[in-house]
Amino acid sequence: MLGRRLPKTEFDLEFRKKLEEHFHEARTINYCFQCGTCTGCCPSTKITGRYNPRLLIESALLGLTEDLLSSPDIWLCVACHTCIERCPQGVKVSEVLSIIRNFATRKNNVPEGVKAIASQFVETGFTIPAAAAILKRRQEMKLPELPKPNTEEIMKIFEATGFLKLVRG
Amino acid sequence: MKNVGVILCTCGGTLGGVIKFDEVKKFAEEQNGVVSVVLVDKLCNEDAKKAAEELKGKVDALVVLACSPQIYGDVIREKLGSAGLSVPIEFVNIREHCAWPHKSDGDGATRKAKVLLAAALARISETKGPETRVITPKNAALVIGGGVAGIRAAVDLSNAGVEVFLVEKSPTLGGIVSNHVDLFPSFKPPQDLLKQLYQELKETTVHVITCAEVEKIEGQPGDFKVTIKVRPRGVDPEKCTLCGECAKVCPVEVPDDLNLGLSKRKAIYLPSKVPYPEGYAIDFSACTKCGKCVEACKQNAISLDGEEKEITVNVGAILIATGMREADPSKYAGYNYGKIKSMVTQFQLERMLDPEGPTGGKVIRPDTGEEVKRVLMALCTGSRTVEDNPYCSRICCTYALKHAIKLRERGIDVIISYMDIRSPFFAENLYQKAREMGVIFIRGDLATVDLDPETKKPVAYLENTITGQIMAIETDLVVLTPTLKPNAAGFLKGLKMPRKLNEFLQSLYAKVRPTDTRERGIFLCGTAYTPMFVSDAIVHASAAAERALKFLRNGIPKETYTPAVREELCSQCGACEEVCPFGAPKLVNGKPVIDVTKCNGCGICAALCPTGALQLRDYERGLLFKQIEAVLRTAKSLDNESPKVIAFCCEECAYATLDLLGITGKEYPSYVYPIMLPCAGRVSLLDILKALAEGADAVLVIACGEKSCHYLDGSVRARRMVAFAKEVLKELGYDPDKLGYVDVVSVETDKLLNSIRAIVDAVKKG
Repeated sequence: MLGRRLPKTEFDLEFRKKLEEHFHEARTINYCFQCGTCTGCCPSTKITGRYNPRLLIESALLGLTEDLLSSPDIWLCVACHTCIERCPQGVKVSEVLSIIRNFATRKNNVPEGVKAIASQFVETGFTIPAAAAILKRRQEMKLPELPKPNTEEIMKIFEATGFLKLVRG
Repeated sequence: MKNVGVILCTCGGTLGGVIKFDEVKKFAEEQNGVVSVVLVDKLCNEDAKKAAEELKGKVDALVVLACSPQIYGDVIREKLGSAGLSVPIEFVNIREHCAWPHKSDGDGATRKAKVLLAAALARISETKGPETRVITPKNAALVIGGGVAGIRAAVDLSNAGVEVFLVEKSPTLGGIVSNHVDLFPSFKPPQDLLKQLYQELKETTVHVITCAEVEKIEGQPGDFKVTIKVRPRGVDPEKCTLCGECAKVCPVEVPDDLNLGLSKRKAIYLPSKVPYPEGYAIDFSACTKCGKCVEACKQNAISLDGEEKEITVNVGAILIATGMREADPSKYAGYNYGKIKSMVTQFQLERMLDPEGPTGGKVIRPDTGEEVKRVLMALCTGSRTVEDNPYCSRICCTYALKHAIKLRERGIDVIISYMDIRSPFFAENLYQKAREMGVIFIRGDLATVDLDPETKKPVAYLENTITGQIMAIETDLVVLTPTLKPNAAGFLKGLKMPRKLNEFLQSLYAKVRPTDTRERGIFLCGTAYTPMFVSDAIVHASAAAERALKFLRNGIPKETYTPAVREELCSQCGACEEVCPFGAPKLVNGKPVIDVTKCNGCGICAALCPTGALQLRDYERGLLFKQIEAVLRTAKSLDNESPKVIAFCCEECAYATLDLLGITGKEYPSYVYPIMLPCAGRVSLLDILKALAEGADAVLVIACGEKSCHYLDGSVRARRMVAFAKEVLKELGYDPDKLGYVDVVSVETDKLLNSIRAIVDAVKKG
């Protein structure tokens, strides 16, 4: 030893319990033995070439929360649930990741792109508002007009749940 | 000169399309010594009677040209015998070796049948048949080691009517399981199992000899003379009431080996929670003979002046059940075991988890006595290393998982550092349960441990190979999982008892003879063979007892092909003693003596005897030369154009694979002539040279798979012999490519076919 010591690894062993408190079936991550089926079958992995749900579960298990909650990768899940279908140990991978995203959001670790979608939602009531071209085509096809969401009512919900604060800071 | 009869079988007329039977019949009739030739359609069926009646009284030897003797040999022999024709038979396989693999070459198949017939005639004129002898083994067995496997085997043998001696080194039976709290993966207390085994043992007449060690084993299979050293126990178990007064007054304290040094005990002590025989014992290496215990004992059970004595038992069979132990982790680098006191092994942890154990069931740091809050377990301590321990100890993952679960039940955090978790079959449930209970699994082998200078706690360094993170984990206690090793057994010295994977004892044939050894009459049971779960050890012990019983009942084979010794030729080199896989030849006053009770008749010694002093019965060098001459000369006289290839093949897998080439209709040139030997190890340099000198264009040696040789070393010996012969051929100016070797297990038809093609290509190249 040259007098320098490696910093000690800290585990947040309570993190799995916190997950479980929010979502009972989050306890299934205990059974994860890192086979990698989730990553192998993930469509998001195929497109991004780097998204790795297996590693995110390992970080959750070890309670490496600092890294996990600031990771941009937790936002790459498209919630198709293929991983849940395929996991040999019955881990609810994508559902656990949605809880993890909630935790990250509370810490205001939200990527700008996601924030933009959220403010769009707050303003229009749509996460993806219809583009002008679509509206024009609807007219040509003589389809009824799209209903207008009641943004005032929605806003009340946003305020009551604290979503507005999360979005606008 | 024998009067030889020849029977030709057409296999229900089906072979007639390829082999010209009239030609073969005419050829047979022209041969010297042949007095009668019979052509039948179904020798394995009704025609046997017809053939027997025609030949009865006329012949004293038979050559049968039919299907594979490996398949129908016994049937044909039995049918002919029951029809009154019991003479030595030499088989020529005209179906699997001629008609079927040479379907599109009728002339070649017919020629091959004739050539092999000529070789069989050359052979049968000189074969003597096996020697017969009956040796009745002594109806007694010695079981060495009184753990669960030893007890199980002893009880089984005794119940079958065998006199059994059960020898145990320590003062009590029970072995490794007796100081465990629960078995795994079942979580049942081993004391229940032991009590049940002891009850069974009490109902038998097994002679239990504790405090005893086997010194040496002499004699032969069926008649071993075993010297046993018996130490004094100091306490008569018949009188001892387990009151414990003696231990209270004993002034001597020594580390308790039962608790692996975690606590102390007196010099007079109870050797197990459930001792058998039920009594205290004195550790005379510690006892000062002060006499206080003698005074305290109201039963007069104690005597301090017993002396070590030697006894000899005479038994037919020996079962080795000497068990296993944890390796000492202090010799494995990086762990600092012994220097860092907050570090124990799984066995020591087991003792701490025992409510009646040295810590009353509390898990503590041995150095400070504090109860621990976090444990780091490292698996594979010293296991899976190429040089020292190139194996997985199989049961330790499950063992560690059991402990992890028990620690979690006590609220202790558990981190397991592992390379692979190997929890076989339903031990997987323990793995699931441990995960469910929040054990932290980190894939990455524990590399080093040191002490934190401030907290004085051990810090474990490892890489989490899943995340790539380098970790320094502080913990209260490190638990190592040392590789498992067999217990020392000095008595094995001088026996042909190779140890496998460095130290565990090797069985004769892992698949079909997992309890037999090279030493006939000596069997393996339990963890002396390989680490295994208790339930498996019990099954293994019962299997060993059954094999020992079969040996004691049926004894040494009544028919043997033992090599004959021509003493005047022997140069006393001792090669035979060295190369025999079974320890049969021994130099006595410089001359080899073959122990018929150990010989398996493979002929490896004969092939490697440099002076030809050893000749395997019915496979003598002279006889083999005659077969080679018959094959090559007949082949030449029938067809001078085609090449000639001699294929020496063993009569086990090599022959069966040749059969399978025929059965599956894979064709190869008909000029490949097989000569059958008991083992490929019987092929000597001279046999190869003889074949080439007699005009063979190439020689192929076909052996059993090297790991499944029926005589253990035969295939390896054959491969080395071929390699050596190639060197000799190079020196002599021959093309070494015209000599080949292939080892096949009996399904590897393509491998064999490729070897045949390679040798044929070499011949064609010229």
